[in-house]
Amino acid sequence: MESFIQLGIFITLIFLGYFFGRRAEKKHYQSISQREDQFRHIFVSTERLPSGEYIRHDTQLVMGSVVISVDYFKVIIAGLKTLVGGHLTSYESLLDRARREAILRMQQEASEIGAQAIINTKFETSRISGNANKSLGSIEVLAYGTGMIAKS
Amino acid sequence: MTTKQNPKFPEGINTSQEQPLKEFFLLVTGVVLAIVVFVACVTYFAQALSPYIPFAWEKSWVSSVVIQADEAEEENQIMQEAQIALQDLLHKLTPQNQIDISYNVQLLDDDTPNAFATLGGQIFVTTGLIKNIKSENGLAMVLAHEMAHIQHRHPIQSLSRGLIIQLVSAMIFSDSSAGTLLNQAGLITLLRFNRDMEREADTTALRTIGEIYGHTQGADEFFTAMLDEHGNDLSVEFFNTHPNTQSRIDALRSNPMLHGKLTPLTSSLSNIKNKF
Repeated sequence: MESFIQLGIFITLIFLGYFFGRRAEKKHYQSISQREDQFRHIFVSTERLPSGEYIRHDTQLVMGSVVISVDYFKVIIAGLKTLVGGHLTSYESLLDRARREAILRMQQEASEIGAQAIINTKFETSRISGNANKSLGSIEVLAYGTGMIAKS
Repeated sequence: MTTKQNPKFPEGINTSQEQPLKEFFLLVTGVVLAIVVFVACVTYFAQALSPYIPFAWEKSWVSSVVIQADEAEEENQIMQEAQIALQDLLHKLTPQNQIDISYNVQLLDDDTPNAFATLGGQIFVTTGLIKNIKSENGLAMVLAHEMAHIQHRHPIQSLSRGLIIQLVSAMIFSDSSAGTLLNQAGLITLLRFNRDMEREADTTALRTIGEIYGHTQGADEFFTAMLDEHGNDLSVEFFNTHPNTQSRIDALRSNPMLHGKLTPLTSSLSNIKNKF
C-alpha cells in the first residue's frame, strides 16, 4: 500500500512537472522569438575590438541575466539518463532558453542606453544549487558585453 | 549610421524537437525492465542457494527469544499454559523425518491478530490471533503455514535477497532523482515473489494438516475471521505482501479432503480467549 502511495505521488509530480514545464517553455519560446524580432537592430557580436563603423562610439557595459528553474519532469528524465548516458535533451532546451533570454535582456539594456551594437559578448552559466544533492535546482545565465553608443 | 542586424537563428539545432514524453516512457520501460530482471535473478539465486546454508548457522545467528512476562500472577499462569499447549501442537505438526530443521514457537501478548516466522525456526503467534480462532484445526493451519515458511527456508531467502537488493539500490539509485521510481519498481517485483512464498506455504501447510487430521476442515478459519473483520482488502494485490485473502480462502476450500470433524482447542488455549 505504501508503494502505491509513493508511486502515486511520484506520478502526480511527474505530470505536474510535465504539464506546467511544457507550458512555461512554450510560452517562453514564443516570447523569445517575438522579442528577438523586436531587438534585431541591436547587433550583438563576440568581436573583441570595435570594427571601423564603431571606432568613434562611446562604450558602456551592458548585461542581461536570467534565472530559470528546472521542473520535476526534466529532473527525473535527466536522472534516468544518467543511468544509460546520452544527450540530456531536457536540459538542452532549458539552457537554450536561458542564453537567448540573457541576450535579449542585454539587448534591452543596450536599447535603453541608446547603444546600437554590443561587442565582446561573453556568457557565464552557473547553477543555483538550492537542492544540490537532489540535482533539482535552477540555472543562472549572465550575458555581458560592451555597448557601442553613437556620439551625438 | 550602420544597418547591421542580428540574423534570425535557425531553430532546432541546439534543442531537440522530439516529444519528451516518448523519451521518458522509453527510459522508464528500459530501466524498470532491467530492475525486474535483476530482482528476479537475485530471488532465483536466493531460492536456489538457500538450502545450502546449514540451518544450524541460521540458528546460531539468532539467540532464541524468550519474552519475560511481568503481568499479574494469574494471567502469567494462563500465558505459560497456553505457551506449552502451543508447543505441543507444534510437536504434533512436526514431521518425524525432519531432523535438520527445528522449530520453536513463542506466544506474544498482543491484541493484533498476527503470526510470523523468522530466522532460526522461530515462530511467533499473538494472543489476538488465538482469539480469532475457533478450533485446533484453524490454529494448526496457521502454525503449519509458518512452519512451511521455515521448511522452505523463506526467512533466510527474504533476508539475503533483501540485503543484496538494498545494497545495490543504495549504490546506484540513492543519488538519482528517479530513485523513488526505481526503488518502488524493485519493491513491487519483490512483492510478487513474496506472494508466491505465501502460496507455497499455504499449499504445504494444507498438506500437513490433511496428513495429521485426515481432512482440512477449519483450515480457513483465521482467514475467514480476518475477512469478516476487515472485509476483503480492496487494494490491488500488486502492491501487497500477501495474496488476496478471499483468493487464499478459495484455494484452501478447493481441497478435496475438505470435510471432517473439527478438533476443539485445548482448555489452556481457549483460556486465552476468555482471560485477555
